Amino acid sequence: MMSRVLVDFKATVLEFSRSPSAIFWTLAFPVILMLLFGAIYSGGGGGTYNLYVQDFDESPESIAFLDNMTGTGLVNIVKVNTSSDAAQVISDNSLTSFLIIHAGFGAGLNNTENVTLEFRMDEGSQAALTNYNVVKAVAEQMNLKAQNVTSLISLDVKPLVSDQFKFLDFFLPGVLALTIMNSTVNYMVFTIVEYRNRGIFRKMMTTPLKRPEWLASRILWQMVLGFISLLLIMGIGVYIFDVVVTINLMTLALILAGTALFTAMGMAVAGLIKDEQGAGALAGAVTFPMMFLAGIFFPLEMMPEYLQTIAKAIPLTYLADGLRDSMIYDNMGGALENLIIVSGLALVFAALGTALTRWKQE
Amino acid sequence: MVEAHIEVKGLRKEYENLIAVDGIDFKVRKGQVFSLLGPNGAGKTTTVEILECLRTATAGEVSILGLDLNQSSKIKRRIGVLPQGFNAFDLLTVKENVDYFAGMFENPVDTDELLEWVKLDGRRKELFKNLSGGMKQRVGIAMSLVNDPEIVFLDEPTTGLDPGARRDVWRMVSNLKERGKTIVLTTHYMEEAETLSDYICIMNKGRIIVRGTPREIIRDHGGSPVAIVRGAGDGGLQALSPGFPDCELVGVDLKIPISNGRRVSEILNTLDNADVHYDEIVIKKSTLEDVFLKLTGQEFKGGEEDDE
Repeated sequence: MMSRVLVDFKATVLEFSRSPSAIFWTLAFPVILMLLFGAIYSGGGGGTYNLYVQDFDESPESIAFLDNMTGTGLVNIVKVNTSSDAAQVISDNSLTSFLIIHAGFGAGLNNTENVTLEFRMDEGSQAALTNYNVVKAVAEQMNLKAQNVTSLISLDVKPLVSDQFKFLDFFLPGVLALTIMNSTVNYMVFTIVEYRNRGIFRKMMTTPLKRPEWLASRILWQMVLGFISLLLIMGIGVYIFDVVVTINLMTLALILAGTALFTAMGMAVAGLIKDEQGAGALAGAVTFPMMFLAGIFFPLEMMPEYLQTIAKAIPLTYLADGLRDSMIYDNMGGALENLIIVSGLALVFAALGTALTRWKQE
Repeated sequence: MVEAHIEVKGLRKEYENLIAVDGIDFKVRKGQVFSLLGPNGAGKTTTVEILECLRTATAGEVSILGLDLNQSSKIKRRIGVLPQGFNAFDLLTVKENVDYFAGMFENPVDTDELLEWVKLDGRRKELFKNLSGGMKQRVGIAMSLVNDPEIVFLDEPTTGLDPGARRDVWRMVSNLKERGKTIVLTTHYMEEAETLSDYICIMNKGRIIVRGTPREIIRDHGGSPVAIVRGAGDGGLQALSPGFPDCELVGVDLKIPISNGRRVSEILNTLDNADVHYDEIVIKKSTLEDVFLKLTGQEFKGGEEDDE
């Protein structure tokens, strides 16, 4: 029995190694995704926006003010020469916000006079809004300081996603979950439909090979691919983007359970639709919405209430959550809870998949 | 008495709104080439797929090598199958494909020798998808022999092949017979069944309508040979019809059934006396095709469609 599984496993690996599209979707796709998002979110100071500033004051106070803003980690100050025309700089660089510190800012503060900062912004822009909030917060902080009540209240500006976890930390386990889903569902759907329509199952059935043996070999290979994806994604995250990730037994268990779940889901899809194009379309219809609704690219909390409800009905959500719990947040309780849900769903889909795909013809 | 390798009694296969196999009986002797011949949809493939343990029967008794169909895992180890419309793994080479199926059995034969035998030893490293139809079929034949089976099922082994590739397959079938294998062949090519078979069952609409050796079938059901006078036209018809009322004009050719040699000379004399011009005269013996036409009243249509 074991030898038949191994013979089939060897054939599976050979087929994979000669299929450029399979290699792309399972290995290159997650790598590209990681590099792309890594570059977007960590390049130029980790999720900060540029704020162009014209400082006509150049006093210790104005410099301190700008330093405080840089200190929040949310904005990146770009100084503009005082001889330039502000409107020209704004249009030349397509800016959505612009800060002008007028002369007399430092002196005014020292004399506890009212001073005014000029902040020009495009109110529809997210970046401008962030910059505005930073300017406002820092200004309030300095107001308090000027009134000598700093010891009572101090405003500590922090990014909304807490400092400790950068976006990439959040994103990395999601990419892993996404890769496992895409790779496994598509592999199972296309393999089953192809083998069925080309009569390969029929030929297999004339030998002692049994369906559970075939299935075992294919699932085993998808699990191996899951671990390879883990290593690739982690390698990029850790070595290029300094993501802090831990791998524990829970991570591995989640990868195994996730692979089993999506294998079964692929079987169910292939069982429902007989022709190649239809099955491919259904596979896409199943995986594509999950990709966006399961909180892979952004936290679920950012989505409207009704979408969050939908997300809770999506299997991928639990795999991604579980992987985040185990790899990033060190929340073993949460990881275990998600592992149980994923395993339960795997059983449900396995029953469905087995019922829908029969080897033996009528 | 030669032992029966396959015995089928009252085999039926019903689908929701179709009776594919309608109660058939037959025996296949050891070492025989046994053919199920019939048009598409006659029930040939359904029948052999039941014997190969790929489908279940609705009713009937089947014994293969003394085993009944419940012992499918034992049967599978002792038979070899070339399924209809055979395909293998596109992205595996010839050798890898054959080795894969050899690896499914406990005591496989040497696959290099097999590849030599099907004349594919030079294509070992070629991917299956890059082979011609004839070569693919030879890979399939090699695969059906990896377990050194006692019975080999070949389900339409030459459908879709060009005449050269078809003859290659025929040579291999004859060779297998010489090696003592029992062969069950399904085909919708009359010539193939006639050339290769020791015993033929002609199937139509789920039933066996006639059975016997090719000679017996043609002798008992084929009718008399036919003389064909090509290019004789109306003049020929007028000259011949008084003496040969069953003479028939097809285009410009005349067809005259002949019961024995004597009448051929009569035909020639009549034509010569009437000074009829003709291109050539051929005497055609009756074929399985004629048998089928005579028995069913329908033209025998081979084709590329699946037999289902």
